[in-house]
Amino acid sequence: MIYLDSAATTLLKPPSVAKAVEKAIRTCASPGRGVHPPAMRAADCAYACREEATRLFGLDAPERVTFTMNATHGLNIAVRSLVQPGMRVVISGYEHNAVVRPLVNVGARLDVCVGERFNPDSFLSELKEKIPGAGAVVCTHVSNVFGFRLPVEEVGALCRENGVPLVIDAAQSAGHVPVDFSALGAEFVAVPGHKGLMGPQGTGLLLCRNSAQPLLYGGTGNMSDSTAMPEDLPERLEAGTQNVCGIAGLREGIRFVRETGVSRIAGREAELTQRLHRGLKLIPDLNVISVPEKHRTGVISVIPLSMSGEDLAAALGEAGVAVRAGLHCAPLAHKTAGTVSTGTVRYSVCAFNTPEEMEKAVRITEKILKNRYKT
Amino acid sequence: MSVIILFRSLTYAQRGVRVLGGGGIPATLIKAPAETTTRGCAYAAVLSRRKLREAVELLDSVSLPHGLIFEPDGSGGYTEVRL
Repeated sequence: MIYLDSAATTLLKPPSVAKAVEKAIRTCASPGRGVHPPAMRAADCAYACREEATRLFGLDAPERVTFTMNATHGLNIAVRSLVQPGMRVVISGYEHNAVVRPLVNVGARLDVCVGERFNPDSFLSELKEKIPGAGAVVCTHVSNVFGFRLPVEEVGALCRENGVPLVIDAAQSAGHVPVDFSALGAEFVAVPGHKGLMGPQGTGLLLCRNSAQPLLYGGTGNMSDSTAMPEDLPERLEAGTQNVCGIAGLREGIRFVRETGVSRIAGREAELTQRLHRGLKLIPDLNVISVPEKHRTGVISVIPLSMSGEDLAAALGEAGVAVRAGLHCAPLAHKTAGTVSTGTVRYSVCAFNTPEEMEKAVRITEKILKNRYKT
Repeated sequence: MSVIILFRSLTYAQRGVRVLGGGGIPATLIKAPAETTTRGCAYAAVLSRRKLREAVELLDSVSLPHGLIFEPDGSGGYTEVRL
């Protein structure tokens, strides 16, 4: 299987991740629920994961790293903490439903910033007009559909100038490209554990500048005599028993990313993506949605002209190439790019893919489309 | 003679123990004795009484908030220590 669906979940992970999960399930209990060795091992494991994330994302204290189920969970907390009904919230035109749905649910007025397609300067010009008076800005770092990297550092600077809180959706950037919490100046950065950080599914992090409103209420293992949630992070946002086995794996994933170096990973993925892009562009009857190379990450979307995207993805799956077809839970991004009527077929790489796999995926895609065209 | 420094959360206590250890002050994480807390379960660091002032200065230097400080009163209870 050539796995090219890492934008959904990285399947190819360092072996240390699975080993850590297996070890934790045998040896760890629950952090903050006792001081016996299994509970303390769990507490140490959770703290060590926070420390790894603190180093990777440039935070100043591990308590700013809170555990979530995924990036969506973190985004829901961020939205609930910052957004009031009727508030105008500026979002990019590339947002995932993980951003759009919580905002709509809370009753925000969405002010969508689009600019010219895949043009960061145009995006920033429009954003500059929209930010004054906004209640918050929520912006994805990298589009999950097109791999377009948005200028979040500049967005952060604009938000700071205008005193508007910023939430970054780092679902497609964390572990793939550098994410510097301090430099972004964001109030929250939502991170999945199971994508670029190579941890298990069901893990995620919310990086917090200040406190936040809990989404869940319940036991935290401290201040038990109070009916209110603790004021302090991270426990304030971590009601109930945490996914310690997942966190153990996530710690190893983050450690791998940190020790390998995000820039090195980004370079490797850029090389693979370039190869894949070059090959796909040469296939007749395939519309490759090209993002300028300097703004592109490891995601490529294509639209087959002679068959549906779903049929192409299914045929690729049967031929041993895992890709994803459809709207990728981001209809807004498709509206922005003009692909909402067809959706796209998305190829997404990770650093464990090989150049040979890129060539083979291109050949198989070409063969499927050629055969289809002939029939 | 030992003292215990209370922290507002398990995570703060974990960080506290690591900060102290990194500063050459051995400390152990414990669940705070019930009589030292007013709001239920809490966590604390146990360390030598001789190192207390240095420890508090170290925690303050990294802006790590801590709670009350106690020492055993010799009869199974605890007495608050004020610096």
